[in-house]
Amino acid sequence: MSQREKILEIRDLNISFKTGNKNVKAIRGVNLDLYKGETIAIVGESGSGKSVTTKAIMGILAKNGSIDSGSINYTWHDEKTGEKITKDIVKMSEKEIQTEIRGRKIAMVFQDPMTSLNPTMTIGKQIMEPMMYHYGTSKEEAFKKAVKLLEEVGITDPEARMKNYPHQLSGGMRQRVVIAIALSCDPYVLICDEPTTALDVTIQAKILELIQDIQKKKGISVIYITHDLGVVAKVADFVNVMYAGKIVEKGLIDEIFYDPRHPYTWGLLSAMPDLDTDDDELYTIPGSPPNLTQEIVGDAFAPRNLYALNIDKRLDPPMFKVEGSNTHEVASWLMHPKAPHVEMPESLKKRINKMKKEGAINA
Amino acid sequence: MDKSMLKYIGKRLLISVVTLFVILTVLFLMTRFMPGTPFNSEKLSPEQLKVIEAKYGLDKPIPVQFFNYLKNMLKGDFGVSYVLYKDQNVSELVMQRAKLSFLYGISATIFGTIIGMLLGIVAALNRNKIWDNIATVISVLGVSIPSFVFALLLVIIFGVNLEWAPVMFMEDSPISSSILPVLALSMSVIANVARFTRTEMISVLGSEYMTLAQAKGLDRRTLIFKHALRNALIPVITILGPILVNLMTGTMVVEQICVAPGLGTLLIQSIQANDYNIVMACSFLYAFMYIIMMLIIDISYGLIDPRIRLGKGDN
Repeated sequence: MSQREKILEIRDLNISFKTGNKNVKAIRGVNLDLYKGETIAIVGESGSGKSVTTKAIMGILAKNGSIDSGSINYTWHDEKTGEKITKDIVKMSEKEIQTEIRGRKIAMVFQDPMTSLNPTMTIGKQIMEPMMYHYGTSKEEAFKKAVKLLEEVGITDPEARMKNYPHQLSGGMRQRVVIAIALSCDPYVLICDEPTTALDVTIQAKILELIQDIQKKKGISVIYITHDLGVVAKVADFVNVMYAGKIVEKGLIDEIFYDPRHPYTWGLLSAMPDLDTDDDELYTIPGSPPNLTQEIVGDAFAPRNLYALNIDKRLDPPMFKVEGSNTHEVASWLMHPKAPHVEMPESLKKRINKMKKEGAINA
Repeated sequence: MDKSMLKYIGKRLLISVVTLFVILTVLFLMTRFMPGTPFNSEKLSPEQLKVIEAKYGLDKPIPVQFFNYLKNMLKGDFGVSYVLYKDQNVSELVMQRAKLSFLYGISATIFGTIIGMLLGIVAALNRNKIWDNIATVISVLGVSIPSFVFALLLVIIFGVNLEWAPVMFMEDSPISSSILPVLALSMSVIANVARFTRTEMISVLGSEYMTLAQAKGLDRRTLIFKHALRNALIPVITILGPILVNLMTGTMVVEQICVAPGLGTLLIQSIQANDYNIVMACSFLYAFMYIIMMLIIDISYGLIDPRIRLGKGDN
């Protein structure tokens, strides 16, 4: 990681949606960095804003959504001159994003392969389409490349498969096709929005391995959006924990899993299903996420936080750097030097010790 | 076309033949049990009646009549007219009239479907804006107002008041005199197709595969024409069946209003006159067209949608 090259830099991103006469502040000041060849994960429960963040990167926010402020700087090398170019996606026009970025430099793998392929178009056409559209690749060449892509994503007899329609393939195979489509224009960044949630458990691991293999081979960067910490542990280098449109804790995978600091991260880790916990019931974080149509005063997590301080009710905590690390940051007043010292729950400690022993994390 | 498709079509054809036979039987019995006879002129004496009935074979028992009718029908002979067009060949008579009805139906369907689809697509693409509202109003009016009311309105406005088009059918200007009835008939087609297309288009536009297509970096035009339209328009074919059937009954009344010598007018006249053979032939033609249309729609649906085309067990 000595020569880390930054590809994507999100700074203070704010996104809101208009629903009726209300304004939903879905993303509140998100900062995010993605380096070449690395994998980051964005973790959080439903509605925390993980998908919205990535849709903003692709410029495919729903019509009622708008970016209020912030920047999404994307850096790439020009194809011919090799010159380094940085552009703010927020400031680009829709036409520019569509022709330059979307599909071409940043591609996306969607959650449900059963619904994300066009049912009336052969998979061959669907894979060939982006390269023919963006690069003007000839039909013959596109066909060859599509066959090669299908082979790469592990589909047997790819040439015959080209003529198939999506309904003739199984879920796992369809997701491979979706990945092939995403790779068709040789993107620099691959966004995987819950890529395994809709799949069979046995297929999940295979798809994750496939994405990892491709990443290694092609040197692309991957953003995983997921609520499944199991997936995160397997694939990510860096983790961003999101809550109510804000990143509340970020750090290297080891830091998040072995040394979590934010009570919300504690909750998430405790809520992971496990074969040998002593409790009969699965732990859940009490309460539910806040209503984002209302102005949030203080820390959005405070009402659900057993360890909330008085200041949490008044002021939103800034990002505190964790001592001894320049990657681990936490947005919680508990990290303030003057805050009382709070230890994570005993049961979680036990669980983490067990994970450490078993080496549950990929690294 | 592969084997399974041919087998399917064969099966459907067989079922169609059986259905037609049943319809024919019921029709035959119904006409014979209708009150009155074709020959109810007071001038006819009972003896004369007997002679006439014997001439047309109406004195024989009903099963024998039916058998004879079937035998002749298979040879393409639908008998002769008893009253309306004395002794004229019914199949010629009906075919000649059917041409006009057919023309009306087809024109109204084509015109209505094209306009309806355009309207529905425009409405879906401009959801909740002025075009969408206009389309909704047209749809509601078209669905709720029967075609004969439109026919009356059109005849009064454009025929009587403005004198832009003839109020009744004229042999020497068949096209201009067909405009009003075709327009009247196509209103319900426009309305139904527009409503349906709009719904389908909106659901397609909101689908995951459209998001994926968008994420590929395609422009809006490609997205709509290459990815959305086909998926949105396939289901529209399914409602064309019921629409066509609706039109067939619609033509009957509209023909009356626009005084057009079509099949509908003939059927109504023949029922009033108890002209059995014409009633039979007209009704049979309606039934036949209905079944054929359904068959064509089912087959074309299979040709357009790959999920149906390939059927089960394909891998």
